[in-house]
Amino acid sequence: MGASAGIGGLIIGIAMLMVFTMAISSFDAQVATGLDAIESASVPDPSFTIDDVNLEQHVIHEVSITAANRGTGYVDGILRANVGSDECGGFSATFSTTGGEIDVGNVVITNHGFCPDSSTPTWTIFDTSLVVQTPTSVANFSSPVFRQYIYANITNHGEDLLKTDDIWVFYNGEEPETLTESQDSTRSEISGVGTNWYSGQTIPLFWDGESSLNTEYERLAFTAGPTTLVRSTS
Amino acid sequence: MSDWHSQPVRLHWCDPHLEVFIMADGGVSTYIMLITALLVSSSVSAVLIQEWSSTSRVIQQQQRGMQFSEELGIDFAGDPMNVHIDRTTTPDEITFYVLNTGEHRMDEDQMEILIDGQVIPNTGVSTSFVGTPAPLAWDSNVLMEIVLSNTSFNSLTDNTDLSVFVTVNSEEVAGITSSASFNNEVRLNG
Repeated sequence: MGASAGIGGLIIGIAMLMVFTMAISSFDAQVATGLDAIESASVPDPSFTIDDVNLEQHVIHEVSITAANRGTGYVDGILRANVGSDECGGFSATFSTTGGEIDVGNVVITNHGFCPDSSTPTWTIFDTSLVVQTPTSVANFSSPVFRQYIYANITNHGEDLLKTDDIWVFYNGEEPETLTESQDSTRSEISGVGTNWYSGQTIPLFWDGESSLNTEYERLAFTAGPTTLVRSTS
Repeated sequence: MSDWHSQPVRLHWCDPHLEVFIMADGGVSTYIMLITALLVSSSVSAVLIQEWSSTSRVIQQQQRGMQFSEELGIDFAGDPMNVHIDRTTTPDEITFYVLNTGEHRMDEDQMEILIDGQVIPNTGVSTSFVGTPAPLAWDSNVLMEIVLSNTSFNSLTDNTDLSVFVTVNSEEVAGITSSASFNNEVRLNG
């Protein structure tokens, strides 16, 4: 009798343990699912600002001189440009000379400036003391290559790292491309340092637009996930 | 057995050894009751376990469904004040962009678009993915260009504000599908 009751109790105990185990495993599964839901819901939306956007049209992107137009009687100096009284936004370039002739392909632009239009500016050639040079024969620089430059600064104010591959840029609401793709491969800070945009980091952006289209963009939009910011150019 | 139970005293008087026999008989009935109780309790336990499992499975599925829905998202991308309308086409075409902001692949073939509450028929909806190389599916963070073509657009002028509503179903993941949508006010700009 005692043994039977003992065995019975044991069986009941085991059955209860099974029920308890089932209940606990179900509870665990639900908690795990709930935690997953909480984790996925806790990812904050990207938070960033467009600090400024500056667009410059008719920027002198490239200056060159041909072998036949190098002039004579020059010393190393500085090249400036102007259209009428407009000094093309402070355009300035340095050049070197060989035997009094300006070196072909050795004109280095130190300030790209921007002209009021895409007409060929008047070139003024100074020496390094900014005194206008008086050559034996005058050099003639070729028509410059004009482009549209856009400068911007954006700051990640969120707590999470963002990827520049995941950020889309729109120009007047069109022509979307990722921020990484949009940047000039040689002049961009993004290029070559990876695509991470860390919390608190300000990225200077630079666009070097072809002048053939010469569309003067008025608004730049940045979309990162559900966050979209738009800023007018100035 | 009931006869033996009816005469316990007489048997006890006759032979004390019978008492042992009667006690064993009582043990058997107790044992039968115990077994019966065990069977009943086991059955009840089995039913309870089954019901509990079913309930917890249903709750888990509901939670997974809710979680899955939370993991879906689409949103308007670009400049809402500069939504392009192309008047060189017949009829006029409106182009805008939608980003998959969720974690799962969406099915662009199961999408409905309403402009100012008017459903745009699927024949007037053209979609393509943006990027180089162009993505093959509408995965997370893939941008989709949507071009709408409808005769009702012909009367729209620049700076007209429109309400754009887009809803799209997800691809099936582990037997679950759900939908995501957005509603955005935009301004046309030719």
